[in-house]
Amino acid sequence: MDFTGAYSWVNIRFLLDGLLVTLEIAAISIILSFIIGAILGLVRYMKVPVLSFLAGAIVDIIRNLPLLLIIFFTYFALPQIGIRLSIFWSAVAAMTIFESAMLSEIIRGGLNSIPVGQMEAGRSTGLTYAQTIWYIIIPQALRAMVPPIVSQFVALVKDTSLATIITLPELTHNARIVYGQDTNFVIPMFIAMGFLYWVVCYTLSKLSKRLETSNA
Amino acid sequence: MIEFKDVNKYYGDFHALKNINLTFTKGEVTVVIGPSGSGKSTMLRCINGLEEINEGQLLVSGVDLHAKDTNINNIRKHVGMVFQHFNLYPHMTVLENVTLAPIKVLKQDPKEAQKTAEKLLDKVNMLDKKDSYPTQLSGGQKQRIAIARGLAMNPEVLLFDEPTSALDPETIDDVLDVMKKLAKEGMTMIVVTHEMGFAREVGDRVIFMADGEVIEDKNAQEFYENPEDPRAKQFLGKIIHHV
Repeated sequence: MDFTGAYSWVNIRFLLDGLLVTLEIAAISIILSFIIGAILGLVRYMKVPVLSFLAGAIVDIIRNLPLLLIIFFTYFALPQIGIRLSIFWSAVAAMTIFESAMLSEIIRGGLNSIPVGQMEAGRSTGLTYAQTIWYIIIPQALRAMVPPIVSQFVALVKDTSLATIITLPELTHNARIVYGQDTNFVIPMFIAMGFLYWVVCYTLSKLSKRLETSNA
Repeated sequence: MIEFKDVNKYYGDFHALKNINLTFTKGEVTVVIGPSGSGKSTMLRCINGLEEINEGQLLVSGVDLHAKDTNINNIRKHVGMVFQHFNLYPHMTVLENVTLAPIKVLKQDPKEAQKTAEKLLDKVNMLDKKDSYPTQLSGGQKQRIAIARGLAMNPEVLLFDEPTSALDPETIDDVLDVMKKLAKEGMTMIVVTHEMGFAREVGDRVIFMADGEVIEDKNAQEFYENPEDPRAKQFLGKIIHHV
C-alpha cells in the first residue's frame, strides 16, 4: 500500500476531475428526471385516457430493466437508429430515462396518498380540477414525497458510477485508471472513492432532512 | 331552486337512485334520513356534481347539471358542502382554509376575504383558532370551520352530508347549535343526518329514503307523528330507541 504515492497532487486532481463529471451528470439528470418524472406521475394520477395508460406502460417497462442495459442502449443502440450522442450525453440520457420512471412512481404514489375527500372539498367550493391539484393536493403530497425523492436522488448519484462502463471519465472511472497504474494504489483509491461518494450522498440526504423540517 | 326530475343513478349494476322527483325551495331546511345504503348521500352529492346522474334531469338554479355545456364550477360556487369527515386542508391554517376559494374562485381581494372569513369564524365561535392548523382541533371544531368554509362562498344552499356522524358525542351540540343558528337565519339547507332532535327543532321538511327511493316527503312534524310506510316506522323506532 502506498498512500503518499496514491494521493499525489496529480492523482487527487484527476479524482476531483472525475468527481466533477459525476456531479455534473448527476445534477443534470436530477433536474431533467424530476421534470419528466413529475409530468409522468401527474399524467398517471390524473387518469387521462390513453395518455395515462401509455405513461404507465412505459414506466413499468423501464422500471423493470437494469440501468446498465439502458446505458448500453443509449450508447450502442441509439446510434444504430441515427441518434448519436456523446459519451456524456448518452449517460445523461440513460440516467434520465431510468430515474424519470422511478420518480414518476414516487410522485404518483404521493399524489394518490392524499384522501379523495381533499379533492372533493376543493371541487365542492368551486375550485377547478387544476386549482385543486395545485393548491390542495400537491402541497400535501410534497411532504410525503420529499424523503423518497431524495433517496432516489442519492441512488442516482451512486448509479452514475455505472457509466464507467462506457468510459465516461467520472469518479469511478478515474479512480480505476489511477490504481491501474500501480496495485499499491488500489486500497488508497477505494478509500478515496468511498469517501467522496459518501460526502456527496450524505450531504444530499442531510439537505433533505432540513427540507422536511422546514416544510413541517 | 333545486329540482330532481325522474333522476336515476347506477353504480354498475346497482341502482342507487330510483326515479327521484324532488323540489327544494329557497329558505327551506330539509332533513334527509334513511338507513345506510338508502341513497341519501348519493342524492345529496348529485346536487353539486360530486356524483353524476345517469338519467333524468337535475336543475340547480335553473341550470341543467346533466347538460353537456354546463360548467359545474359555476354551480358549485352557489352550492356549499359540509362533509362527514370535514375534509379541511391540513396544510393550511383555519383562516386559509376559509379564504382559499373566495380568493381563487371569486377573485376576492385577500384582505377582504380575510375580513369576511373572520366574521364567519366568529359566527361559528372559532375566531380564536383562526391561526391554528386543523390537526390541532377537535372534530366538532373542525366541522364548524368546514361550515364557515362553505359559507365563505356565500352559497344559495348548504348541503350537509352526515355532519355529526364522525364526531365525539360531547362536540356534536356545538355543531348542531351553529346549524340551528343558520337555519333560523333563513339559510337554505339540505341535511343528511340521524340527528332527530335537530330535525324536529329546525327541519321544515323530512325526506325519508330507502333502497334508492324517496319513501316519504312531508312536513317534519307530520312525519314524526304519523309515518306511513312500514320502513319509515321501523327506522324511526330504531333511531328514537337510540336517543
